Amino acid sequence: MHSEIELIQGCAKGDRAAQRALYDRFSGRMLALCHRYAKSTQEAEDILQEGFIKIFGSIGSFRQEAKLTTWMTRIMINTALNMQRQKLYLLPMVDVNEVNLYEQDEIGLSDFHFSELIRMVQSLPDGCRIIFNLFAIEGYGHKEIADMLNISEGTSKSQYNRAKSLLQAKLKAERKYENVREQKI
Amino acid sequence: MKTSENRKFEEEWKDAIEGAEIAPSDRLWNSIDLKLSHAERGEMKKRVLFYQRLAAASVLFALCLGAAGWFWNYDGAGVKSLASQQPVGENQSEAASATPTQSSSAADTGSTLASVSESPSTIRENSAKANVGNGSKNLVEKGKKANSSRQETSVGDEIAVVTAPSDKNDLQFGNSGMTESKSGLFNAQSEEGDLYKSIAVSGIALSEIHLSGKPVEQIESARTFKVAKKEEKRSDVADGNWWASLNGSGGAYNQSSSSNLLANSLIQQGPTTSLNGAPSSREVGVGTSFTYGMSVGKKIANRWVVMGGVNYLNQSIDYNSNIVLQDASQSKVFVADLASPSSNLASTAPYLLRNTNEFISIPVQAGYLLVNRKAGVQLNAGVAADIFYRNTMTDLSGKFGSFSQDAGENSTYRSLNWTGLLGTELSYRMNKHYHVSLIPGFRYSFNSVLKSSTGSTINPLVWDVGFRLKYVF
Repeated sequence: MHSEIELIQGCAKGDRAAQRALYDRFSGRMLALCHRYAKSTQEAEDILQEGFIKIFGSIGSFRQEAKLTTWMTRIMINTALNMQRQKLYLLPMVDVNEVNLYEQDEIGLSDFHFSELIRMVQSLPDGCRIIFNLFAIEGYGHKEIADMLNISEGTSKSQYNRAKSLLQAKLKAERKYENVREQKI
Repeated sequence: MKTSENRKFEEEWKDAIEGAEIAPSDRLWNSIDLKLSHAERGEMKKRVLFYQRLAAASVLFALCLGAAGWFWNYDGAGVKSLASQQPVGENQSEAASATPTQSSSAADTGSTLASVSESPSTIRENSAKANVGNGSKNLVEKGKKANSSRQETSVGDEIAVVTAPSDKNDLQFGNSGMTESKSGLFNAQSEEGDLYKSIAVSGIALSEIHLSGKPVEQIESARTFKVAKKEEKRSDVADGNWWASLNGSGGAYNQSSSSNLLANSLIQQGPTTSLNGAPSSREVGVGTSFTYGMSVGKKIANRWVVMGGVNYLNQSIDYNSNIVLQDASQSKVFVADLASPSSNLASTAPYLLRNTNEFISIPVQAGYLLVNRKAGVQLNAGVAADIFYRNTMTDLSGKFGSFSQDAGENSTYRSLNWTGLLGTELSYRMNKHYHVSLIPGFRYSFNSVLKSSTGSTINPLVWDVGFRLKYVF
């Protein structure tokens, strides 16, 4: 079992065994991240591949000021954003005025399997999905998101609210479906 | 309240999603592996291109230096051919046909032209006077000092010696007189490098022709003097002697290998193997090569040198391999390129190994001196007989045992390999006996160092920079 530093040094030298070990250690977590940003499994795998190529290419410049996972996550997110950016240009994000925010019900997410949640996120429109991930999961502020995506802060907020509203609706719908199914059984 | 509810929503999602993992398929790593290999190959091509350009630039640089050196060394060639080929009569008639104005003008400025039609004794007298008149007294004095023994000889010799100075500063002919001389007698001279010296020597020689009636011999004596002077200038070079040197070099090494067919066929045949996947041995980046040894050489012609020697040659490169050689006691590292029918291979997780080949190299080279001065430039080319000594493979992680093989019947390596050598030698003469050189160059193996029975080929290509400390006997 290699230590993280050994892996970094090995990868920096182009040692394929070290690269494989790094991939084995982090690819699961990174692929889950990619799934959140992608619309499909194929797209997620494309992001993962591209991201790891970038990681291996630039790991020599990693100064270990941040944690390796944080650094790798940032690269994966940037890769995902770059791949999504073209879509975002084609479908520019605008302020969403009419957002029907549902009252927060007691719908616990623990009732849902991870894959169901991912599917819900993937079903969001491109802009909403990205902003939801950046704001809710990665913890970026709307100002940062606006800078990253070259949109206004207001657009980021409204897109996020829309994502939230859509997710709540999906959760409710899923719950209703589950209840009906349970009753039938 | 609203804010805390909102945060609750995000936290719930974060908790549910963050840290989750989805196992990727094996296919994904294969794609990444393939892309990385392509990227490495591209990187290696860039490096190869860099070294090729470096070598080409150094050869071009050497050629430019050589051309410049040849141009500057071209002293007096025109004069020599003029003196030896042009009919003397023409010069005589040209000299004789000089107008009275020209003659008197030349006499005024002290040129020996003035004395062409006078007697030998007058010539000596006028020549001395003329020189004094032009502030060139020390020309005569220096000539006398340096060549006192020759002054006892004939008039012609004496004049030739006196007017063949070793220092341009001693030649203070009047400029107008010189121009006159060029247009009247020496208009065939085109070289500027040693213009003053050549004119002086040839001028006197032609004067003597008229006086002594022995034109060819006199011209020859002037020419011989010049050549002797040149030889004297280079006498400290010790060029024609044998030399011996200690040399070393280091550089990049590429195997130029082809894929291994035999190892793949071994999997299909399978009786001696327990391979589950395709054996793969991929070079990691560019290898390194170094040599050290000694050489001897000799200058066999004006610009040609031959040399030979004995060198120890070490070439190593790292591999990613996923096969091991199964021995009775332990697993040893192995690369697919070296598989032979007797290999008992097994697959394993990829690991990094260092493959080192050692040779005793006997090079024989010819060198052409483009510039032969204190700083010299030489183009070298030749062949080397590389006698295979040993191949050693070591697992860099230390997990598997090392594998080593010597030359012989059972070896996958050929015992004798022929390699082409090409390089540029940039040398500097420290003193009469010691020279140092930098030698950027290539070496490429004409044949594969692997036996044909392996089904693979490795033709090592090395770009290196060598250093040589030479002692000239």
